[in-house]
Parts: sequence; C-alpha cells; structure tokens
Amino acid sequence: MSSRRSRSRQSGVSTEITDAQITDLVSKLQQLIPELRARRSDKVSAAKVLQETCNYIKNLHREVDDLSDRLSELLANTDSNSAQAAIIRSLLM
Amino acid sequence: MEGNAGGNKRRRVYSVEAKKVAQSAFTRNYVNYLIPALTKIKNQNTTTTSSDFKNVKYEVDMAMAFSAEGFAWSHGLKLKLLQRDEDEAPTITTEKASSNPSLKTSSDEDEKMKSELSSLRKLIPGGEEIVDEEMVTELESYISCLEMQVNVLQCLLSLS
Repeated sequence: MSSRRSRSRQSGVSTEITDAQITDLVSKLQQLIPELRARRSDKVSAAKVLQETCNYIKNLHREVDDLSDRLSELLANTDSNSAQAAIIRSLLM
Repeated sequence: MEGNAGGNKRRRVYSVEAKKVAQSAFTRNYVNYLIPALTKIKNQNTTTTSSDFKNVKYEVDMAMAFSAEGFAWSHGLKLKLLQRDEDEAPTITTEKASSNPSLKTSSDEDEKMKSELSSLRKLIPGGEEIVDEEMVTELESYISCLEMQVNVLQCLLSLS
C-alpha cells in the first residue's frame, strides 16, 4: 500500500488522506449509518461504507424535500396558523 | 453545561456532553427559527402557491444552517442559501461520482474509495472546503442534524 501523508492544515482541500483518518472515518460512519450498524462486520470495505453514507445522506435530503413539500401544502391549506404555531411551540419547548 | 441564556443567543457549547447538549439546542433553535418563518410565509403568500415550496424549502434549510453553529457545513449552507437568494438558482444536486480512470493497479480499491469520498464531499454543503481531519466531526454533526431535521419536520406535520 502506498504511504500517504497529508499536510492538510494549510490548504483547504487535500486530496491525500491518511490511512488513520480513513479508518477513523469508516469506523465512525459505521456507527452513524443505520444500514451499516445493522450488519456490523469488519469486512466492509471503506469504499462501501462511504457509498452507504452517500446513499444515506441522499435519502435524508430527499426526505427533507418531501417533508418541505408537504409543509408548504399544509401552509396553503390551513386558515389560521398562528394558533397552531403557538401550540406547536409550547409542545416542543 | 449550556451557555445560551434565553435560548436566543447562539453560542458554541463545548462540554463533555457536547453531543447531547448540541442535539437539544439544535432542535430548539430549529423550531424557534422555522415556526415564525413559516408563519410569515403563510401571512404573506395569499395567491401563489408555487413559490411557497421554494420559500418553505429555503426556510427549512436556513433553520438547519442557523441551528448548528460552528461547523463548516452550516457555514457552507448559509453561503449557498444567501447566494441562491440573489441568483434564484436551483438547488445543486451533483450526485454523480467523479469516476477517475482507474489504472487497474493494486490501489483500485483506493481509487474507488477516493471517488466515493469526493462524491460524499459534494453532498455536504461547503464540502469542498472541509479538511480531512475535520471530515469525521463534520459528517457526524451533519448526519445527526439531518436526522433531527427530519424528525422535527415530521412532528410539525403530524401535529396538524
């Protein structure tokens, strides 16, 4: 394996990531991503973990878009929102 | 320990339980931002509903950016949104992985990993600016904030 060292302190973007950083990233992601948490295995490759992370984030983005869509429909359909807003606020605080 | 009095000041909180504090602070900040913003949209837009989605999505994203201070992604998100405000540009959805021509060497896996990493970078707002050492914290916070955002939005929808 080629040794990679990254001096990324100064530069904003670094194309060379260290092995330790990858291992750290992969292990953290395995805990974060539900897909990966379920099949807890050390044989998952780094590329696979990153790919699953990408998919997960894309799914979350899609969900947020969908929920925003429904929210805007809701806004268009409800008449009085201020009372609801007060209720929601008090419930969630 | 929490450092924001009154819940309106957005200050960085660093403590042993930073994650838990950050989570509850995020949710509170998020709702605090979004509800008034949505109410404002409601009161302003009486005719066009097509622009409603854009406005709501904008506020949803803004709430996200303002609720988690101190991260590269929240900063990047703010910048993106403020630019969108000026340009009226559609959301950037670059989801294609930049496939490097792999040379079929033993580092084929490495190439794949690198290309996945760069597409991951594109998914995070301001991702191009994130240094590798920060990638872990940025991803952690971004993913958990996204999850919380989904939860909050689902709550809002289910309450009506």
